[in-house]
Amino acid sequence: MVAVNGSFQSELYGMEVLMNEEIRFRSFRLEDLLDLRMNSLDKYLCPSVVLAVGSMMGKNSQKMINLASILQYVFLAHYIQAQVTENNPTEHIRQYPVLVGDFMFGQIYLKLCKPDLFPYSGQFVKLIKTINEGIILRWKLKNKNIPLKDYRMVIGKEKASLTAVAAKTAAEFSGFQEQHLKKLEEFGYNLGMAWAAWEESVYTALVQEYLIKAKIIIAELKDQLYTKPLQELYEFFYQEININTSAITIGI
Amino acid sequence: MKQQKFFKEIASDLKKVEKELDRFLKVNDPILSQTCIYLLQAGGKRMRPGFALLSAKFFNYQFEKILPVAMALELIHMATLVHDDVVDASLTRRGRPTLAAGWGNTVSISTGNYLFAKALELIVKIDNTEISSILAKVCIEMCQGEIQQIKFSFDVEQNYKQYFYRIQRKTALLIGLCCKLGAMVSNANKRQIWTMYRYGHCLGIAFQIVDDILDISANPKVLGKPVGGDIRQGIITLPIIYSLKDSPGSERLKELIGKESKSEKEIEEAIELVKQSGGIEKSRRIVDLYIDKAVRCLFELPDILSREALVELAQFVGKRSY
Repeated sequence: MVAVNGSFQSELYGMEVLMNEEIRFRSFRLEDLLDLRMNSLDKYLCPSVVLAVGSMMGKNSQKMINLASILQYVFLAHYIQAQVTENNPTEHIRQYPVLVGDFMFGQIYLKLCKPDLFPYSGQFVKLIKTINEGIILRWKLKNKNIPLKDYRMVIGKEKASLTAVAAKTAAEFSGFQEQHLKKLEEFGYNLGMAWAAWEESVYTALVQEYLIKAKIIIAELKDQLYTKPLQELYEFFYQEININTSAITIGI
Repeated sequence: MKQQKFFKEIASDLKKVEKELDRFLKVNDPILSQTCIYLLQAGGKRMRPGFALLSAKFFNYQFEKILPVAMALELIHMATLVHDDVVDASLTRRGRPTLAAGWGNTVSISTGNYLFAKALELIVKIDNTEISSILAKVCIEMCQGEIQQIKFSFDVEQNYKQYFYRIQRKTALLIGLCCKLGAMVSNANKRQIWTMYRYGHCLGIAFQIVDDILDISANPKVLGKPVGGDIRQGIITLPIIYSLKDSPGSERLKELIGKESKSEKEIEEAIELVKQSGGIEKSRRIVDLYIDKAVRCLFELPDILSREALVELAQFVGKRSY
């Protein structure tokens, strides 16, 4: 059941149905192979960024739904492979995440082959590289007290890059002007930073910092664009982090 | 390296592929640059680029056009090997420590992903959505094959169809694809593209069956690794399926293969039972059939040096002992 209430709920549902059809392993389903315990942000945030930006220009097309699913595949591939640690207790906890993650990469490439999405491939190449550079950076800093500056860099690469590309590609797709495109990319980046900081609770002040930044962008765009979908996305995010923790006190 | 004999005609171009890969994998991140170059220097046989180049030779061969395809194929292959080493918890490959052994699982997985991304970078440059989508589909099917293999490990009720489904995805599709893409970028017609694919596909099937036979019957010193690995991991291969089907020792073999934890003595016993059952000879006959099919495909093509090389390569695959 889709947890986001708003303008793009039906498209998000459409994307979920589409991905459920695509993720098949002959006689097995994803749940037969992996025990995924994802919260609503894991399930919906990345595609919601795409669909919210798309909704600002009207109803989302199938093209936009495909783009949303690519972003979710990028998230899922890395999320699933992150289950593999250095000392997994059983073989299957190590084996399936690697292979299912690779399967997701295959789906990303396949979708990018659609002529209308192919021009965006370069951005996804860069995104996958950036995420993995972030993972490596975190690995280099393991067992150390990560300074705030380095921590920002890690989560920026690992997660905020994803939501930033989600917003940027959706904005390009929808034909936003250059100045709005930059703002929307920044909005996606800030949301991603808040998301990552909230998940780990290492530097909790970061959640507030980036949420305020995201909120300021919505306010700046309000007079120029139809921002209701962005506001709905923000509310969804805010609601989700407050369901799971009461530490965050940012007004909507 | 024996393969060099078959790739003599394209040796200088293969060197260029190698050089380009080396240049292409010098990336900004110091760790990723180090791990990518480590993999490259492990010195694989570069069979996949070799197949693509040799296939292209039959048609309008333009090295600059085939170069990114050949590189992408090798990068995809390298990425799958790195991830396979995590899946199998392998400590050595080609006599050297695996990335997983040296750097751990996290770095290995990220390096594999990075290589996938680099392959995609090349595919984008090719700017041909048909080629890209064929490659993507094969990547998906390869994963499906691997997942199927793990899911059905230790399942002694497996049949021939399930086995061929797996090895087709595990090995044959990518080799078939190398040949197919070589033909495609060289302006071959539909029939010729299909012929090249069929050659690679049949060769890939034969290659994998031989691999599975060697895992039971090879001399470990020649093979470079201990035998019985598939039995240990519960992977049901063709010689085992034959032995389980109709041999006097099939009940005992079932019991041994189905055990998730086996002693070395039990593995040796299982190997002996497979050898005595005639499963290896029956599998060899299937190999010969596929080699024959592969070679016959080539006779539809012009009699040039590449054809001779591909015929010899097929015969080598059928008779190899390592």
